[in-house]
Amino acid sequence: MKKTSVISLVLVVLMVLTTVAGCTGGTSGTPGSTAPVNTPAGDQPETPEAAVEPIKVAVFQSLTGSNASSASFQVQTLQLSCDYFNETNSIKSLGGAKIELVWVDNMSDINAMKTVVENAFQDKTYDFGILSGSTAYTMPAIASITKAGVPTLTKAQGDAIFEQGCNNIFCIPVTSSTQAKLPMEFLQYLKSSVDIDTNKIGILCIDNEHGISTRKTYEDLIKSMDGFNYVYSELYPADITDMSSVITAMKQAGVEILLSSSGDSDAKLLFNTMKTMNFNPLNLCSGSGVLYPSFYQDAGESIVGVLCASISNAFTTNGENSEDFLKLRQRCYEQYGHFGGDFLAAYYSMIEVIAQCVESTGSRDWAVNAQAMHELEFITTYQKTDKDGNYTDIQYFAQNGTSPNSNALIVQFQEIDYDGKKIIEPVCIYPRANSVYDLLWNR
Amino acid sequence: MSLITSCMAGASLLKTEFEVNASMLWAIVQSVINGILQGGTYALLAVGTTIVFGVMRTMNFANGSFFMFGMYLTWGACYFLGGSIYAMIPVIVILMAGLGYISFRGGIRPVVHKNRAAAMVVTVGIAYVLQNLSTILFGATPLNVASSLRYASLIIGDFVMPWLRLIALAVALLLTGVLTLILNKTYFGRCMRTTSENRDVAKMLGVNTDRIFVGAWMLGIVLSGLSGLLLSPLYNITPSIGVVFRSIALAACVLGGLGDIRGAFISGIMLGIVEAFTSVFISSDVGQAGMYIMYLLVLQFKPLGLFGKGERVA
Repeated sequence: MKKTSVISLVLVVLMVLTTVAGCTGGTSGTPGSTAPVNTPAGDQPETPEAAVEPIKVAVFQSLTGSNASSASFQVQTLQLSCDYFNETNSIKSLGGAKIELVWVDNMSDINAMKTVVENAFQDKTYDFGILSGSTAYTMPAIASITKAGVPTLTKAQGDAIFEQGCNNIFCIPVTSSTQAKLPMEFLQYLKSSVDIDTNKIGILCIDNEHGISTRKTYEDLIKSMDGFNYVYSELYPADITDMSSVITAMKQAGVEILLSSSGDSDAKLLFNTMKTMNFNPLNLCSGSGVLYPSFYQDAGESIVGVLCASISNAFTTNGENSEDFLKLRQRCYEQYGHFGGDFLAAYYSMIEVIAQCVESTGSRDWAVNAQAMHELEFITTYQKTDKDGNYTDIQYFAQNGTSPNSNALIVQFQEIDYDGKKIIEPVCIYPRANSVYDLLWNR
Repeated sequence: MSLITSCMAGASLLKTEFEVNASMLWAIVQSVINGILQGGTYALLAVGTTIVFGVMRTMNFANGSFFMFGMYLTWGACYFLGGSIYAMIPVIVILMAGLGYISFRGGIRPVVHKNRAAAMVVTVGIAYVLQNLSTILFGATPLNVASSLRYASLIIGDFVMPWLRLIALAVALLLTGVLTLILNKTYFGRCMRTTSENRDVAKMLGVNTDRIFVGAWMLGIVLSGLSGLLLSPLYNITPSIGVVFRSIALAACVLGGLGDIRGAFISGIMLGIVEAFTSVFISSDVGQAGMYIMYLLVLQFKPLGLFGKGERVA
């Protein structure tokens, strides 16, 4: 065989191998590692450890392909939360069962989500499902989840998910439209406490399900509020490569307060371009992209003071009051050098809810657990209020799967002392009842 | 008294109108600047792509992935060697040239002489391989390249020009000039032009067309990698970063006339300006749509592109 043919053959084999690398089925443990993470270990003496079948949770994530970068922090924090639960706890009503995460790759293909979920739930392998934090990936899977009836948790907050009539998809954080109300409430709080011009608000959101509903909510709220007016409101495409035109338009419109919602790749672009174009409005952003550790660690000191709406945070009074969460937070920092943005508290809560649900039913039956979710009163690190608006520890799901008493937070990037070091982290500063840190105001 | 009041009101109205006009003028000029700077990015990628087409008559759909790989290699070089991204240029040129050589010998060469369409499909395969390879090698977590120029801008009056984009434009301009000189004034350039015009005649004239092919391919890959290096501090480096740039670079190639370096450069700049104007004066959500509408309109009247001359290329 000629030398070139051998090289070609080797490269073709390499090509096939790398291309299909992500096309495998579910994998147990942290994606990318070969070691199984969770081994069933009962803590009840009468049950042999190996005999206790773990609660199997299918986690649908983009482990390969274009969206894999968005998923990496979710993978880290979810697996860490599950490992922590298994080390310190178990489901006693099922003989000390542990929780096992089985990673199912959707290959960053939104169109494949329906089939991927359908195939995974075809047999009775999994007891629960967890979907990625993206509404775009959740929407196509709804039909398959409804048909299968598997109780499934999602971090995706798009209102459209919960308007489909599916009653076995559950979302612990607030929905997009509810979250969008908080920045306006915060602006009112700012207006009453510091001097800001609320007649020059700019709205800039990414053109996806979350961004569209966020923008609409912002516009509606501003129109309904006295003394508030917006001078700029735009969507931008998710694959934008240059933000200088957007900044030019906002500068021309005279924007002084910017309400933005961005994804992971565009958050850096927006922030960098604002800096280079000398555009420094009061920036109140949202969207998990800003809260990605890779983003704010890269931004460094230049991000200190920036405000962001968030569904959860590693530095809240709820988190500080939970001994388990504090240990998990420390472990996350030691292992990854960050606190997973808004993911750690969110995924820790997901594992807790699954555990509390199965603990209450003692069953693996999908219908029983889905029904139990609707009746469950659970405890998470989320900020919650009761029907009278008072803070409470108890959270619950409505019939459509949302959690009506879950609240959002405003976090601010601050330099804090942690573990004897100065680090820059997003910390909760509003609502005040949930905040450990104070607002920094040096405008 | 009423005359004074009327004059004051008139002056105030004029002042407001002047402010509005000044603001509009500022937005127009700043948009032109934004468009040229962003267009420089597109031009840099488009020039690399058009060289490959000009010589090999096959479209490189992996240009965006090589661009992405250039970013990852820049990150790696900065991480292991330290120093500014500009100090890494020789390293990236060598690495990208090596990558270009391997991809040509392993993927393109076996098919390009027999079936150009198949070669085009192979480039799509190479794009997937590079995307997955980067996930395997560098992980899915977004990476960042530090640069002291990241927030730095050249400010003239009220107009702002970010240094990183300004440097990318200057490099694009320089490379376009150098490549044009190489094509027109050197033996290698003449061989490239002969090969692109008629491969059989070139062979009869003693040109080693295989060597010209690999040279053109490597040149295209090196340019994609350099684009990645120059823009790496601006973006999160992820396996999917090249996808958008790929489409725009291909559009700039076709718009300028396939195989025409000068055309690719000018089209890149034009696309950037149209995108900037559409984003500022219509909506940021349709900036890219504006680009493609212009692309379609131009091709309606000039199907071979602005500088396309049919068979004769490069």
